[in-house]
Amino acid sequence: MKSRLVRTIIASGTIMATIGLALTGATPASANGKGTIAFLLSGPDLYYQYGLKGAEAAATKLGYSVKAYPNPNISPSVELANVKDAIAQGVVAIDGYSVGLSTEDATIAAASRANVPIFLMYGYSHKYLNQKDVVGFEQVNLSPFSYPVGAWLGSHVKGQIAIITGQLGRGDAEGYRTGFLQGLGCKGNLVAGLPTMTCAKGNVTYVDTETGHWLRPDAYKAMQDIIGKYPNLAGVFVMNEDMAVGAHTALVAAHKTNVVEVSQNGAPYGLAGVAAGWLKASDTCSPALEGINSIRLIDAYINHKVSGGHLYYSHSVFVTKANLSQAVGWTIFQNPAAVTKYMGLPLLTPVPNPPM
Amino acid sequence: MSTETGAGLAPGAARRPASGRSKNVDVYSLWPIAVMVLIIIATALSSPRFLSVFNFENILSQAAPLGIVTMGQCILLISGGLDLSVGYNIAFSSIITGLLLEHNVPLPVAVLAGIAAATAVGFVNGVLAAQGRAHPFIITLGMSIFLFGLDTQLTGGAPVNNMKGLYTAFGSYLPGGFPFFGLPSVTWPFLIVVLLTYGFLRWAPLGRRAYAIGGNEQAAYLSGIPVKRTKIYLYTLMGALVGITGMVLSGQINEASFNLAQNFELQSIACAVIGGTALFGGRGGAFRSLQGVALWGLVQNSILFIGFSSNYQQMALGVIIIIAVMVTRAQR
Repeated sequence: MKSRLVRTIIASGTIMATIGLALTGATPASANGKGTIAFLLSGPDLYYQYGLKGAEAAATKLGYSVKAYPNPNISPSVELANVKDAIAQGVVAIDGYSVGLSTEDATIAAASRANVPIFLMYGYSHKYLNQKDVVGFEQVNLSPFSYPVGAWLGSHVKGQIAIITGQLGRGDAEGYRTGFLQGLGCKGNLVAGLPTMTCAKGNVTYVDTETGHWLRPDAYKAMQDIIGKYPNLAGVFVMNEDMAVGAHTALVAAHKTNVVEVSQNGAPYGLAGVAAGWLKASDTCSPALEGINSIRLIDAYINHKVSGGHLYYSHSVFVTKANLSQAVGWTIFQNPAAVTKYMGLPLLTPVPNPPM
Repeated sequence: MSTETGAGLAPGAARRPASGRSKNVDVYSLWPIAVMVLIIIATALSSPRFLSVFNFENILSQAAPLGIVTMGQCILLISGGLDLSVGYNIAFSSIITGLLLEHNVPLPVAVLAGIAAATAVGFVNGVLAAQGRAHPFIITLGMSIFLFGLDTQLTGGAPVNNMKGLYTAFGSYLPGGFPFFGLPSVTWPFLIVVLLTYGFLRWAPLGRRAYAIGGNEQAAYLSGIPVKRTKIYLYTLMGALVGITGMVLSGQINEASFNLAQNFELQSIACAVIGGTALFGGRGGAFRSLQGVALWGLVQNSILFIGFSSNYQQMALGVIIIIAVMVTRAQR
């Protein structure tokens, strides 16, 4: 009985080790030209996936390979383990997304200790800019990104409006809300962002805010609750287009398609919504372009063409149906000509006085 | 309500009310209704629109998908099991259907395939749980993690954005007047599942065996109940209900994605427990769980109407779950 157990354990171990070796690919970090860049993939969201695709497209052109380190459950401990694994495997740089502001401390410290350059998309904090081998951060400029959305809604709608936010507490959703309310011309504590506020010279009243946690099903429910409370709602700002689709579905079900919906992101389904007319305006950015830019900046840092410790703002385009073709889109990595075009543009310019 | 207890009874055995209280009304079991009445009064006083038909329909449409899966969870809890894979299994079934619809597979075939996929997952859960080598908590947790990876792999993180005929079926309201009364279309599968679950637990031999196994698995085995086979059937049934939930939820929101039903596993367990279904088996019922679902939906809605932030929803629901567990223990 005992020997059978031992045999079973040995056989299982052998099989698992074989599978493990096969899955890891056992690719040496320096196998591809200039080496391998680790990409921290924090969560399975499409935004992050397309950021990775953009990074891979740029890396291929520049002679690097990219190895993704998935962290599907957005776990801080998995992120740190991934960073240490990547360093142990001899990557030449680390790129990608950290799971949160607090996790960045350990991630950046580990990379700095190992003299591995690190570049993060989103999660900017001024305190990291002077740390060794921090190439920089790239993200949309939170408040200004949402400002034109508020300004557009303020000039096209009269009456009650509401906001469906992403997950509050990380700073990004709060920043977007502040920018939107500034653009809308609201009076009051815009940082706190709590309703009720008078906006757009008295033409608009900001009456409600609910969270959709960045998720479409939750935004669907939030929209139902808002129109239950405010049946005369005239407009709604939904903080990403995935949630905007959910909110739109709820409005259609309730026969409230007269509610003007605006959003931000530039996702494929968002641009389709603008084209179809149910989404009136959106401020767009492109995770794929952010991924391309991140690899270009890492390459420039490794080759001493740029210094480290900078904040870069992502390229964004505010679109309505009239100028929809100007949006960069999320799928440029699928088009080699587009990748070549964006890689031929000048490198992003650092933000002169990054916010403290 | 007390007729839905029946701890540890063999099939066909006469049921008695718990712990010698009133034979017809178990007062403890009515606490969710009492709380709901208080919430309705308090919220209506602070916001007149709370009592609108539109808001009532909102609560119904939000509660319906969770309610369907809660019925399945209730059956499993009664049998001493549970299923932590429901969230990603709901997503799995919707993704299978959504991908097939994207490839222009006829709607009935795509729907059947989605439900069959979820049912197959339930069957695997059942086979593993029936072996008794590990607690269903671990088995279904492992299945949940597996399905999360599978869901993400199948979609690449991108949602399937058009559920076509499913959206037509579940994304709107039914005609006014008899027999549909203009209710959200998701209401009907929910009510049908509740009634079928009630009948199943009350009259079907398999349902009676669930009580027996949950009350005392060893005694059930010794009395001739095929425990393993019953568990496999119950988990497979749970899979089918999960598949139905996947169709309803993805049709309602017009999306199939890995995060379609996040936290449904814990919410469904919580709803069943709030209604009085015991966490360790032998007690509970469909209408009790229905109370839990109703209270859950009402609390979420009323807190927003009162004007508190959604963080207070979680706090209130946490308190209610703790009260529910204490009340359930007091009933014993």
